[in-house]
Amino acid sequence: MKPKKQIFITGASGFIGSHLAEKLAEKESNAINLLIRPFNGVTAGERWKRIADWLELSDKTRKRISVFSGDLDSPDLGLSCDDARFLKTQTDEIIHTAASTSFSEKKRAQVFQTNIDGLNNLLSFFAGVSFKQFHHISTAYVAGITRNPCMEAISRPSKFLNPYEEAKHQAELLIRKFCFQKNIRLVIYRPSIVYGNSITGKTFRFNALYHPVRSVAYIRDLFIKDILQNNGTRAQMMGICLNQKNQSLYLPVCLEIKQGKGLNLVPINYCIDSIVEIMKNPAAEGIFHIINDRNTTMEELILFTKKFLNVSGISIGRSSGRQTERIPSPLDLLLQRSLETYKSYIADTRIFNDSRAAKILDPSGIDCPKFSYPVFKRCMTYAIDHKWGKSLGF
Amino acid sequence: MISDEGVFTASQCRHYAMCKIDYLGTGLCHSGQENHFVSYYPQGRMDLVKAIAAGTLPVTPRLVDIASACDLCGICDLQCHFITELRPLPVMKELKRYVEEHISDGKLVLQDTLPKDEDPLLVELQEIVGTRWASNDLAITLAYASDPSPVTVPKLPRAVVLPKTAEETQEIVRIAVKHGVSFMVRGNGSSVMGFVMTDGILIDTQRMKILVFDEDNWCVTVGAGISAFDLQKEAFARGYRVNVAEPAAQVCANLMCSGIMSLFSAAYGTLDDNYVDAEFVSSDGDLFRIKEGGNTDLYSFARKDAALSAICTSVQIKLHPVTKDEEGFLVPMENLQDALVFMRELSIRRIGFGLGVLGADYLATFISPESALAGRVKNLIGTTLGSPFMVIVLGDSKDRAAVENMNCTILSNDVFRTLMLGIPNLSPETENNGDSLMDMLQSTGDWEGQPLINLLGNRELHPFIEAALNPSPKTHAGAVPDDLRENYRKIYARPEMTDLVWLNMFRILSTRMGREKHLLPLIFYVPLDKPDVIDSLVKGLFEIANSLNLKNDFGFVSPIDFGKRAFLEYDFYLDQNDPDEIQRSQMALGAVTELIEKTSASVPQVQWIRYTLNQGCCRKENLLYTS
Repeated sequence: MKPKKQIFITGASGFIGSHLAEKLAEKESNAINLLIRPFNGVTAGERWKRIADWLELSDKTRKRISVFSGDLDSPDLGLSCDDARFLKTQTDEIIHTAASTSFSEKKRAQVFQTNIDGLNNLLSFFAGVSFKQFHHISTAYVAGITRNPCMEAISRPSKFLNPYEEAKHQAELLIRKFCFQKNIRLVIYRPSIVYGNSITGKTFRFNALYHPVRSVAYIRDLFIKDILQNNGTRAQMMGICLNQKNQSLYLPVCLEIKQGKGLNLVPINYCIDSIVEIMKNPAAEGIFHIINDRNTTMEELILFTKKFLNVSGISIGRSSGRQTERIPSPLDLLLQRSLETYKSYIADTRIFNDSRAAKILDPSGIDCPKFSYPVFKRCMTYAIDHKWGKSLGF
Repeated sequence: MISDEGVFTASQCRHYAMCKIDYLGTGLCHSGQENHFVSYYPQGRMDLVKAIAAGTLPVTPRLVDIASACDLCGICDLQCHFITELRPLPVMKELKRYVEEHISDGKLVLQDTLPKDEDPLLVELQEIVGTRWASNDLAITLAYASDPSPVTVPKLPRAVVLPKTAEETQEIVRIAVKHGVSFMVRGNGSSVMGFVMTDGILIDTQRMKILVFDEDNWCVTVGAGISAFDLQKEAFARGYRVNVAEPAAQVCANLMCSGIMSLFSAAYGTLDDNYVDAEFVSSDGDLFRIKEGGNTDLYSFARKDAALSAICTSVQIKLHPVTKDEEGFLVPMENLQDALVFMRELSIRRIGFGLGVLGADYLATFISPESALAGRVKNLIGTTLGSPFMVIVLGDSKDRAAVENMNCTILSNDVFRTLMLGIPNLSPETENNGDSLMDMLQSTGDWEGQPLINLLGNRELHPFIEAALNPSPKTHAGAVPDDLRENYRKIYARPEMTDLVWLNMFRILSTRMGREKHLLPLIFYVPLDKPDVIDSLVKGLFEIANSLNLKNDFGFVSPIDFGKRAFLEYDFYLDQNDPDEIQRSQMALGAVTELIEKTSASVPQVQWIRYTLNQGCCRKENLLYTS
């Protein structure tokens, strides 16, 4: 019997890592080894079980997956001696998905600890080991701040939007050097902003575009309750009212947002299909952008949100960078806060060239779906049905 | 037999003595009020139940009396839950049942089995105070034998005596001298730091209830049996305020022990600032007043451990005026140094009659009726809202205007009230609920720039916060067990329960700090003009506790003498029943001593409060400005 291909995945409890594990484990000839850290008193095995249940993995698929309790923060990855020996002697391919995705300057140290120190621990662990391929999940935004099209090549940026981009760029350089010295195949995948499954709406990460929708939904529910149960005194004080005809809630909100070319959103299903397709192409090496060639504007997102939540009144005040005459209301500021994390991406003017990826994906018929209202509705319905992840239990 | 559950509850008693004052306005243990010995209060009964279970307390005549004196009214159940979440009523029931069964089974009470062997010392003490008020019955003395401190060396008193007057106290001291027996004095009978243990005579001043107002001279004469709470209550009813400390502490004892320190010390001072005169019984039994001097110089201060040199039997405490426009508010801060600098600025400018920097842990614990909720609120305040520290300002409308002019975010008392009364809705524990305010705020993710709390402090967002929290006494009561909800609802229907000025005057919430574990407060005098020294001290204490795996947190800093100095409280916590944790706490205290000695060597203005024990009446300048 042909020995199975041993694939080691870091960050397997993460959004991309877990979906990759699922997809790769569907293939009988693969043996998937996951590095998962125990967290909040929950063991690595239990964490994976919860995710596997959520992914609805079949018994066959589950059997091809092994969980290794460990942590990239430890120099030896926090593995037991037996586990470390097994992984060092058996691993054929590494897929590195573990990362801190915080954009906050205040969390710079934490971001670098995970994305650089953690990576160094991983590379040291496999330094004297012979394996065949290294697959690294990076981000399209490693290009840094630039007016030029972002190419599928190592970038030379002088400035980044945040510590996340900077750390991911440095990680690419480290891995490239490592793989060059070991003379092994390196593939770097650079997805843009990943959201849930465009077909089913499923996700277990409710960040990014989910934040502002969640905030509006919360405020809507709060004031509808106030109007229906408490005479709406508080709603009135905030200038909020209910249209009796269509039951639409009027929220007087004007978001001061500098807009760029829109958000580049890719669904997790497209992201995974693309990575796996590139991965299985033996000639594919180097860097590949996993992006959407159709950006989504803030106008579209606000329109979708208003339609989905049956609210009105939310508008965009286009900021030109100069001081505007209107003083934002506290409600404006509160909702703007939910966009704060992605503010710089909304203002982003970067465009991405994905010709290398397209050469592999186009012939296979793998195309990124447009972020349309039906997709939005599907994703947000799933989010609300699952209480923004609270009912998922992990 | 005492049940395991009963023993567990009994062993959790922290000896904070809150069952000895009617701090909720819901009544006071009748048995304790009538009999005064600690054993007649719920606190003492908890110790007795623990001792019975351990087989160290036989049924004695006093134990029979103590058990029968309890009418199971349940007052203690609400009082104790309010601050510790403990439910002592079942323990009280077990004690009664145990004694009743003992008697109904025809078993002997101790006095019937042993020949009567009176202690001549006890006989003399009883001649002074009456037979009822001096006892060596084990059921009495045992409640004075130990406390939850990790450094306490338990000692069983030979006798406990409760004088009513200074003259009786004089006679007791003379008898102790005559017999060569050591004595120790306690204000309300309790001990929490291990300093007032004796195997000689334990003098409990509970019965010394003198309280005489001299409004022409803006002072009140307070006997050694008057608690801070009762004094403040009487003073407030007459339109005054006094500077007092923990509500259950007796004013005289507190003055002697550490000097009075509170947020109000910002305006009213500390140590000798707080009193006009005081009466003492010397260690020879002589009566003297501090103003008159004499052989005992209580105005002086020496930076060393001082023995008890005199018993304070009464003190004339200063009365302070109040105005109708008083209010409290909070100014959120991103870090300790900023908070210290801001508070010092207020103090220098004489803004506010009460000032302090509070940590998120303090604030969360005070406003949350149960500890799990407090943990979530702490996380919200410190992390999500970005305000791990807050400067509390107690002042009048002019103070408020002055702070507003300083261009800061202010959380008004209205916002505080909304938060406190709506706190269960801030972050409901059940996952099946919809989004809470905390979910919504946390979902805003990482942020740069201004902390979220600056936005929430905006008056215009108040209706939003109100809609989110639906604040009401009923909402607040929703966080406690069903059978206590109606009581909590009634308590929180009273406006003072959410009034920052009142809450700080009466300090009824501060004991909640010991709710999860026993509190080991570390208090220091620090130079407020050196915020880096304070910051470094706080970090050092944090590292010591963490290295020994002890729960710890910043407590508060409050200015004295117009921002020249301050009190700093940092808190370690321990499970008082865990020998390993007790040992680690002892090690931590050793490390703290080293840290303080090292810091004091280079910054002499840093002083540990331990030297104030028995020197708390000293002249302020003698303590604060000596190098």
